[in-house]
Amino acid sequence: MGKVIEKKKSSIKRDKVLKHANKKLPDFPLPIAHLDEEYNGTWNFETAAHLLRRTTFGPKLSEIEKAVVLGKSASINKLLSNTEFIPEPPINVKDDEDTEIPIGQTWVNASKKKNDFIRRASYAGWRIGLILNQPHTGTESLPFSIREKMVLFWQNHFASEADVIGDARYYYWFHNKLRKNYLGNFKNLVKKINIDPAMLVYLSGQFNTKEAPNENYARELFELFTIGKGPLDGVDSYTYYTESDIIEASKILTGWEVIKNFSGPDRQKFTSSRHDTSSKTFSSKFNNKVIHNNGEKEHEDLINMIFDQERTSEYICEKLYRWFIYYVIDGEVTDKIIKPLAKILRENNFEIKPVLEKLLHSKHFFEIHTRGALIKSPIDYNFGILRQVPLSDYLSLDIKDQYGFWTKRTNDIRNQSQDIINHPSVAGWPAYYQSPLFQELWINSVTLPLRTLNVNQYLSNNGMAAINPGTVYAKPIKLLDEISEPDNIDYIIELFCKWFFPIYSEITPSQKEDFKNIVVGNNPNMWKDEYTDYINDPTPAKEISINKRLKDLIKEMFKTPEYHLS
Amino acid sequence: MKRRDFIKNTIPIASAPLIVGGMPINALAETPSLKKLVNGYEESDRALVLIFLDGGNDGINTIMPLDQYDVLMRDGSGGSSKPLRRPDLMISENKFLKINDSMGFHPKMGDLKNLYDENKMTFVRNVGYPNPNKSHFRSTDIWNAGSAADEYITSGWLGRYLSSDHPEYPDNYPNSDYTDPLALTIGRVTSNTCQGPMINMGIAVKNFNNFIDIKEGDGVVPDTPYGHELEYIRKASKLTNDYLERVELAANSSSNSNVNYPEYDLAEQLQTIAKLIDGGLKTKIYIARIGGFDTHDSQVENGNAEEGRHSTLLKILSESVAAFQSDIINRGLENRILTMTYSEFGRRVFQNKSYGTDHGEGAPMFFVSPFVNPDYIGSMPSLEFIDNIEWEHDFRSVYGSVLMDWFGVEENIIKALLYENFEYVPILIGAKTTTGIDNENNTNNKLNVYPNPVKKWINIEFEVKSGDVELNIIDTNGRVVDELIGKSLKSGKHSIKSNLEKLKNGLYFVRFINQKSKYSRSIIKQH
Repeated sequence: MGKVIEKKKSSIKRDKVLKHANKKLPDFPLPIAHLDEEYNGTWNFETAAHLLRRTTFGPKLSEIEKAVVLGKSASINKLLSNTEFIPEPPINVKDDEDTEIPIGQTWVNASKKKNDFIRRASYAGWRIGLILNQPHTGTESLPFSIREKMVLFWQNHFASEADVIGDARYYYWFHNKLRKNYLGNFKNLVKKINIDPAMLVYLSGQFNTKEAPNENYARELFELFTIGKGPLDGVDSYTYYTESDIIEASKILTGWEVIKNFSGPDRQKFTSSRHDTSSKTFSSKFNNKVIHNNGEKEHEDLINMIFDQERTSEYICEKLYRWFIYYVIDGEVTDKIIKPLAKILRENNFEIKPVLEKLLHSKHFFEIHTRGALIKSPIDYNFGILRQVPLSDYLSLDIKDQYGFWTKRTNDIRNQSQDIINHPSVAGWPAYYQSPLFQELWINSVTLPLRTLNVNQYLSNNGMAAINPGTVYAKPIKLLDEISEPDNIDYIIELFCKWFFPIYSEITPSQKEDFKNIVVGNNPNMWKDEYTDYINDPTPAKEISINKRLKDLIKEMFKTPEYHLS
Repeated sequence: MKRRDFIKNTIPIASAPLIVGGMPINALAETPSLKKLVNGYEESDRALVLIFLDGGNDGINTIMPLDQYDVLMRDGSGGSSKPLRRPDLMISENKFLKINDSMGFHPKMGDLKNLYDENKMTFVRNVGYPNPNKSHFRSTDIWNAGSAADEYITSGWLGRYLSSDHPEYPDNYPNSDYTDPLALTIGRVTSNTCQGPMINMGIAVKNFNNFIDIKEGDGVVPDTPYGHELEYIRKASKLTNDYLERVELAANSSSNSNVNYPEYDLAEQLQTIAKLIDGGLKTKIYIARIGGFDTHDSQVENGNAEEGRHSTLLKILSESVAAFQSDIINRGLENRILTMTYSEFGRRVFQNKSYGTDHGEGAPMFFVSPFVNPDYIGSMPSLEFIDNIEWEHDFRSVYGSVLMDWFGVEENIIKALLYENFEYVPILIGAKTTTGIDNENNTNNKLNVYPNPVKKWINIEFEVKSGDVELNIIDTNGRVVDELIGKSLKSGKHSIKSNLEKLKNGLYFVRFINQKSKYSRSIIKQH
């Protein structure tokens, strides 16, 4: 009899599965709230955690609690403040190989190095260090910042490959522009990127001359960086621009080179003899606009023309929406969110900060449609874990070991298709543009086993390798000092479920029971006894034992499908 | 009847050229007798290996039109009537590996040239589509989807094919009928060619040392985007657990290769595929990829056109494919595997000033199999006045012809899956059409068989140039079931009569090999 009931249950489940197993693109079950509706609902641990999951990487318990105390508006203000801060640049940590630069000194202003990959590795590690420790790097003491998530957004928007550019210094200064402007003016940023040395190398702009225009950059400028490509609406015409517009734009961009023997950020150079001085005529998409010769300022005229099109503001807002909310942009989302957001962008002369402010305050950002629907990128998943689990105090290790720990982590994300210094192409990570799967591309038969392996590795008893003999250990036992009922395993499990999983109410009692059993088996009092014993008479053996139980619990939680969601 | 049953019942899944006596098989399939014949075929053990040349391969430099060498050498000094073409990119004329007087392979493609000479490789020139899109991403989407330039289809051409055969996937997969992945990408991300209407029909495998149990989760999910994504992750976890176990088993069951593959990533991918098929994996579609073809600059070295990025890529492609082919021959898998290449577009006729070329249109596709048409297909237009090479064969017709000849998909299904204006391209052996340039080799005069369908006696007429002749009956798995002739014959026309009474009902091929020519005809045997 019991079995029959069991079977019935599973057939109900199957119906559900069929309905949702990607047999169709998801749609929003209810009308969504218009952007102008501000979120005025409950502000608690869960809503604060939602805000921080989306805008930072793996929020820590203390950060969420801080946000709860601050309230919604103050939390968003903190997230979006202190935009001027620029961290200390990456440094040489392998003195024997970068002979020009002593250990601990930065290489960003040095001369070209033959084995540049050492510097690229240093850069990648430095970036991971910033993601893991971002709150500690500000001049103003901030509990949290959107900075690293926005820098990552921009580097994906202006996607490139450090290994193709082949010079870590170019790459650093390129990203430094993104970092300086991460909540700044989008239009001005594009003007800077047009002539950025790394971009001039990456998209062949340095070879673009009046005799032989190279259209590589101009094409991506339209298609990926500004206005975006629309459906084909005629021969060589993509709704918002045409092939001939690409050719005219590439003429405008002629004349820029990169000075080879030069140190520092601004090594681009304009040579007027290489510049096409003819008048450039654009298609009807741009009202047949003619741009006349304007030398080294001419590329800015091009950007002004592109930004006069409303579509340009919508395109970047769609990308922000996919980054922070969800990948499905249907007619309703376009009307209620994208278009009003784009209007704000235009009204604020393309400043990004007001746009994010509006989006994060909106009811739509907090409503059920968007909760938990974002699949974490490898960076979000892996480094979220390393932020949420307390680690042994590796920041007091030698700087070489710190970098060693960080650079080792670059492999973890690269193997899961998110190399932090090499995008797969100039379009960026496919999870943010490739239909129909979008973010689901992060999850497949290669990445799932690696995510599971990384959880095992991050929480292993042997610790994680830094530069020999440095080792970093997971110390979840430290969490017990932060929580109000450390001797209550039910409380711990409730708290962890709210903290780690995007929708607490979707975690079933039997899931919680399973989690609890990992720690205490079938002995409900065991945790309290063990913990009390440890507090009363702490010994290293007891500490290891308590730490291990917590590690087993957290491992199980991080491996569940729900933890992949944000 | 469900569409799936319809397909199963009416087409022979294991069939090679589906042109029967010059008549497309779908015409015959309408007759009850053929329907009866093709019922009961076993699942094909054929596999298709797709190699994506990512970035847009320069077809001109791959297969040089030697008869237009002078045009391509123009340096712009001839004024507006003879504008610049690509002098900086041109390799010395005598370095090309001549196919005939009008064209030659790039000097680094010796291994592929050998396969061509052995009638094991062919190519279709100037494959593309009307109204071409020069964006990498959009054009790659078009090629992967098998769509028109103005169609936005999110599924892939192989995904739709697999989905028409497996409409319930992924529910109840794997199962006892289909134990293995339907398609396998060697890499970190599943190929979009295998994207079904709803879910990707394939999985990805990078290496064999990350088999680990993944938490699958269970329970009802809410009707929200959260529920949708959660269900996706659960399904992906379950499929990964189930399929990786099978892949691991195949990897461990295969024998070691005695072929030395070159140390390229592409070669490693292909070696993996050979290993898995040898180990018994029943997956039909495998996808490999080589990137770097977007040669806007440094396509050739300044002053040394024989070297540079493009030549390195062609060398990698050529050597990797050749090693793979040797390997599958040694493993006895040659007849079961068709390898084909594709790229999102070709490149311009005019060079740019960076020793490179910008995005173009049509480009060649390569096909490797012992069953290929011994003659290449397609022609090169005059490069005198053009910068873009217009498409001659639509890529969807190429895809459809492969589905038709290799997997036995019926023409009206192909039209539904791919392209209403589908036109058969004789890439695999079968009747030759007028598409080839070399009309002199029209196979219609070289090999004739009748009657067809055949009950007992078959008449075969063939024309011998001179020397050794092989005339065999081959089944759909490429196995020789009847050796008719294996000796030297004098030149001229011959005919023989053979008794096929003992053959089981089904589809067979008459294959005729003389010198470097190879022709075949399909025949239906029925009592």
